[in-house]
Amino acid sequence: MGKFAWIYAVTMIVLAQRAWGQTVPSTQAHETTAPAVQSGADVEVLSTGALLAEVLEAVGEGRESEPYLSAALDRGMIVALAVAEKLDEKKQAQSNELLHMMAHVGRARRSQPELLRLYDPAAYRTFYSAEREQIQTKLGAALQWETWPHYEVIALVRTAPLPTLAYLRKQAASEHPNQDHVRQILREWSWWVRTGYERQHLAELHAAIGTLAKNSAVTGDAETAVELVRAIGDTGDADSTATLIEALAHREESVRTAAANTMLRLVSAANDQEAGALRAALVERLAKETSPAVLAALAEGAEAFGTDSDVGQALQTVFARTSSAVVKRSILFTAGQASWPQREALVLAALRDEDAGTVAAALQAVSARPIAKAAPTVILLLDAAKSPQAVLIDAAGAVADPRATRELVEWVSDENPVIRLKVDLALGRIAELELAKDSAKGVSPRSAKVLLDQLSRETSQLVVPQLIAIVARLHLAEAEKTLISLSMDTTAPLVVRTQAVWALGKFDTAEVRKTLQELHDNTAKYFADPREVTLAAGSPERLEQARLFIATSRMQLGMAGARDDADRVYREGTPTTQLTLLMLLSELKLDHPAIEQGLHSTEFAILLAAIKAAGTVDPVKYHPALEALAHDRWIQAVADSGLDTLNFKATLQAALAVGAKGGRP
Amino acid sequence: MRVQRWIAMTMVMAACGVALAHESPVDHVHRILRMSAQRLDENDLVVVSYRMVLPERAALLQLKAMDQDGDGKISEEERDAFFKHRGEEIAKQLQMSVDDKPVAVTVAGKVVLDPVFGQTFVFEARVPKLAAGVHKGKLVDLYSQRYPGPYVWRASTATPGTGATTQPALTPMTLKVPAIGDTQASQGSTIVLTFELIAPG
Repeated sequence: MGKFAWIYAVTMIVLAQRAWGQTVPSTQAHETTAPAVQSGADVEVLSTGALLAEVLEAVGEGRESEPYLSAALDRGMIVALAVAEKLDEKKQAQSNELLHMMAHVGRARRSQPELLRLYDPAAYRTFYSAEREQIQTKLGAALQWETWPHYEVIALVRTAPLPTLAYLRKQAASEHPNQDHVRQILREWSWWVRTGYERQHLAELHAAIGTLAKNSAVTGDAETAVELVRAIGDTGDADSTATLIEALAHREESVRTAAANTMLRLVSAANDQEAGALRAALVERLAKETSPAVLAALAEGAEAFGTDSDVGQALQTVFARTSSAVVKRSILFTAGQASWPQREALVLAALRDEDAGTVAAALQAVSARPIAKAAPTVILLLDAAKSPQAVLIDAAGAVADPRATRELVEWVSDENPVIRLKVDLALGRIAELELAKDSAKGVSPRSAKVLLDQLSRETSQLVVPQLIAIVARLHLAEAEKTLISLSMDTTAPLVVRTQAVWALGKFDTAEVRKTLQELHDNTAKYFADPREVTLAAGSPERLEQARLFIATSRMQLGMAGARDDADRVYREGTPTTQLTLLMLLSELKLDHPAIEQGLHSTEFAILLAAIKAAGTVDPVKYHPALEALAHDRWIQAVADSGLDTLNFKATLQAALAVGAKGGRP
Repeated sequence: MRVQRWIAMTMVMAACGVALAHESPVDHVHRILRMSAQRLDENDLVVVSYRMVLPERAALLQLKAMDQDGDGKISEEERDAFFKHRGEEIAKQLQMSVDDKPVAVTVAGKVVLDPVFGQTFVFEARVPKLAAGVHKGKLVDLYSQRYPGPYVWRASTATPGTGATTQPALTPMTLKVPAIGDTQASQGSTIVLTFELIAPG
């Protein structure tokens, strides 16, 4: 065998075993041909067997196992299978290290099976093959230990779910269950489900929870009962609604609190009948409960019933009778988004409360859903305030009473940009209503004048883009010149300029059209700043983003060629640019071929933005495409798991719902 | 509601600003690039092993594109076809030059997948036989502009010629890369890597 043929063969084996989890001897050939070796490079090419040998030796001797450990953990489930054989109840510290490794690689169980089959075949065998029970029994051998090291339960839930479920069922049938082990399993598995990692055994877990709930030794132990109740909520076990209702009346406050905290999560998984039963139990408990901790939790749980007047009535009664500020605030947080008929009276009463925290919570409720009758009190509070208060400014914006302008103007130059931003937003809301009322007079109200003045003075990169958005929304003609000058100012921050370019699309004048045409014709002149240090790398994306905003502004004004420009930017753009275009189309409610293309993307963020745009722009036209996505098994594998970190599923369902109703929101 | 929409709009703008500051909301890719060189009979060969570690979500959504027959299973053929195409697309975006002269980068061998959603592609560039001495090289990764993320850049200890060739009797060449540390954030900009090839006399 020639020298390089040997090297080639060894390399392929090394690479293959990295992928398929086979152990091969270490490769001397690397050393003979290695040129300049960078530190840390060697361990990545060691065989799994060699890596594990290093790790196990280090763990056995109680010394540092890096960098071998990190490299070994990258090898996947094969590591768990190897180290499980070394577990020893008598060597707790060493076993804990090994269980830690098992827990780490055991995260693979959260992955979609086909993904495992391709990337981590050992994990696929462990969880999905005919021999899975046999393999998992070996991985879960430590279940029988009397004392569990810290990482044991984590490793068990992840790598050996079948034997762990069997263990839970056995405990459920026992008169003397191991309460500590049951609690550990419930706690860990609840987290696993709540995080969206459980793809396989949810129904079996619910069945085990149901069996445990029938064991009076389990429910009689307050600590275990708390974990059981939490598990019902975290795992969405609506079949256990009756157990939760019983727990609301448990003799122990900790169990009642846990049950109340669980209410909100369980309602989302419950059917109408179960939700009705939970609501009735909540109302009944609110009437009887005396513990502030439980009442506060019940009030938070009541958020699940934001339209039900019996819940509103019960909360209003509690608010009137309690002296606990914590309970009052909880009720007000829930009232923020609620629409039950008692809401207004409750919030107005809270605005007069002696406790400052309660008043702040009431102001938050006003900001969340404006109450016109709150305006006089808000203005009184503004008068009395000695320094800017964010929550008060938000409430002033929400009630949008022009009388608040005088007070708000005093804080418009506050040194804190967040305060200035909030003041601008509040003034924008006031100006919007004033302009709507006085549109015939042709005179800008004071609120609008203050905003225009701010636009010429403000320097904060946080505030300026918001200000631009506000004056554009209000169509303040006096802002046009400033916006034109900002858009062409090559010394201004890019985020400010792109915002100004976008805002120009709201002003259909000859000067604006001329400006946008100039920016379109000479984009590089205005946006590829030659003083930019990273010009070579950064310039393309800067230009791409600038072209995108110019195109969408020109589209808003119906200028020739703008749609084609946007199309070109989408086709040639980076995923970030594509995403931005879709978000802009969604906001502007403009249809464009990019939406259809985005719905076929396999890029999560782009797909999500395209769904949002489709649902906003034309949910009827895009309904078939959205339905196809909802039924796509790969999309479901993302949407029904912890991989959905951006409300993907909810966005898709909302877009589908609007389309199904003929486009009516 | 209109106010909320406008606040949302300004959040869009903020997101764009963030994007422009090279903090892309798109799933990031971690890269480990290894490079080695050797002398062939007819020319010199630079081999680039390009390992990308994807976020799980990105790897999963790739299966949607891979599953051409829509049966929910990925056959060998579907896998190979997908990665062949992907490798070719990436190769097009790798621009290499030696002594300021461009050399074509092509796919060499099948992709290797590993449990942390790593995908290792092997590329090669055939360079006209270099005269004895030091030659400056550059690798520009335009693909990194689209998919930002941190990267590691190493002269390879893992065999020159991986998957690239089985030609016997090759002479290894020394290849040096700057000691830039283990991990560099690419910051969303194009990764530009420089190296030196030292050809034997």
